[in-house]
Amino acid sequence: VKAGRRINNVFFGICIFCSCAPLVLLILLTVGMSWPYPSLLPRVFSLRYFQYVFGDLQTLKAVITSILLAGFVTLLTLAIAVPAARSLALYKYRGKWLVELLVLAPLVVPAIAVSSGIQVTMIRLALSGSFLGVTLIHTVFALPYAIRIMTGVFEIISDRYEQQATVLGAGAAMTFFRVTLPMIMPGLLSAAAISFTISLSQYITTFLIGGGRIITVSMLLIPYIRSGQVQTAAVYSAMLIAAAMFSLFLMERAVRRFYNLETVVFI
Amino acid sequence: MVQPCGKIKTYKQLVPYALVLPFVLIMCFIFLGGIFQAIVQSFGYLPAFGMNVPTLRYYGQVLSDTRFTGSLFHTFYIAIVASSLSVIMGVIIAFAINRTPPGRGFSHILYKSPIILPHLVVVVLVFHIFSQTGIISRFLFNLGLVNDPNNFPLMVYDRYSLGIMLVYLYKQIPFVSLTVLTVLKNLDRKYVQIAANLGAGKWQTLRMVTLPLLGPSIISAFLITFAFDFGSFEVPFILGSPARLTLPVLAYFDYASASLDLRPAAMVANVIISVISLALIWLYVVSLRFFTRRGLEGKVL
Repeated sequence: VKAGRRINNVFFGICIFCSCAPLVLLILLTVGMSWPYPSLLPRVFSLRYFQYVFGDLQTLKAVITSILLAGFVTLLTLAIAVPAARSLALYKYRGKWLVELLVLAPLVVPAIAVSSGIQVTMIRLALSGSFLGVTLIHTVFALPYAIRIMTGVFEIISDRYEQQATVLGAGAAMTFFRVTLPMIMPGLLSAAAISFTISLSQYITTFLIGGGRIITVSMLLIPYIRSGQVQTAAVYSAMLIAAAMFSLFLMERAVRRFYNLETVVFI
Repeated sequence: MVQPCGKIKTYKQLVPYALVLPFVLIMCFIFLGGIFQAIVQSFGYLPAFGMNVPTLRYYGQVLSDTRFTGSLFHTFYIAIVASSLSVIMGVIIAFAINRTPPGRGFSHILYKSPIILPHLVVVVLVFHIFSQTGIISRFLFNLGLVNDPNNFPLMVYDRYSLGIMLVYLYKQIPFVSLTVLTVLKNLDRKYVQIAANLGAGKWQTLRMVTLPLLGPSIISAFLITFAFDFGSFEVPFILGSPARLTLPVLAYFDYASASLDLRPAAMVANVIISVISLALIWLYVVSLRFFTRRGLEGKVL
């Protein structure tokens, strides 16, 4: 039994190494200045790549666009996903299976098919190249994740507590803000975090619907990897991760303070 | 889409429909609208460009094009290999984690970290680790096993799409193991202990109880990862070999090309990708029904 446990520990250690070592590499890539072929570590460390990337006004604009876009996508996704998940978790009705299929569909139907198809309509409605158009298409691909998470949450908490609140005389608004919202908050945060990252990492949807007018960090990143400029690409990658982490951190702080929660668990 | 039928008596029965309405609306407008437009254009009907006569010509043209069929096979190959390996390794890791004692909160969070990483970031990492001048090549050089970066096997931009599959594996193995682990933990509490009480051996429990009960989650993990690997654009766009395009990348190049004749062809490719993906969902639902009929828990969502 002991030997088995040791093998397990080694195995688990390898898993953790494999998932973390690449991140260390990413950091090295962003701060390594001169890193010619056979050397395993950078020879000089400096922040020149950061200076290079942030010295460009376009980068700052892209960072702001990405974060704003991801923020709006998150809000819209939650506003749509929460009622939909509630409906799926707590009610039985005709046609429910169709809705369930519709939730699964964006997980499997590729973004390229949907966005190149809808482009003509978007142009006709003057949504192509607009912030709103890109927000809508990102939201479609964030919704399945958010709805899956929230459906699970509503199934667990059910509506017993809300019924109690109603029996005790709470109105609809009070029930929602004082009972439902605090209970679904941890799930809501996971859903928000996932929606935010999904929006941040979108490329082809932004490219086709944004029509070159909405420039995000992901769109700046791709030409650099394609041309083999790994270190510049790494700085953009670090920015994507930092933006995601920072937003998660802010959301967690805000919620903890608001609801006096001890810990908020993500994912 | 949602059609309240004649039996509705009180407005309360409309509540679930009202709740789900915003979702159905945005999906009909953007998602189904996009697929519908792709289908219309795949028949060569683009009034904006003066193409007014629907035709099946483009389907014939695309399906007999070796560039397309080759790409279809290659995309299938990538998706099948990457998703099968993800599921096999993910399940093994889930079993291993399930056996390690709890209370290692930090390490349990760490192994999940690939799930949150955007694909693009993983692409950068895979490039830096596996390319000819990457970290592995450098290690081998320092060990004297490779004397020139050009002698290191091509793992990025290669014919076998190894680089693409590595990105998928890195992202998906933790995803699969997390999905399976959730189910495993619940099983332990219920059925595995009962089986042990009834005198089942370890191997017997695994074969007769655990694996069949894991069925639905394994199948759903396989289909979701398969569908993603099949339809992903960014990863093969960056790491793929120019000689072996995947279907989404092929559809993109045709769509973005200046030639208007290629646009319906791109849409044919898009429709075919979508049909294959939708067939997968159908398979998923059918397989879940199969499991539910046998008295096992299975949910569409």
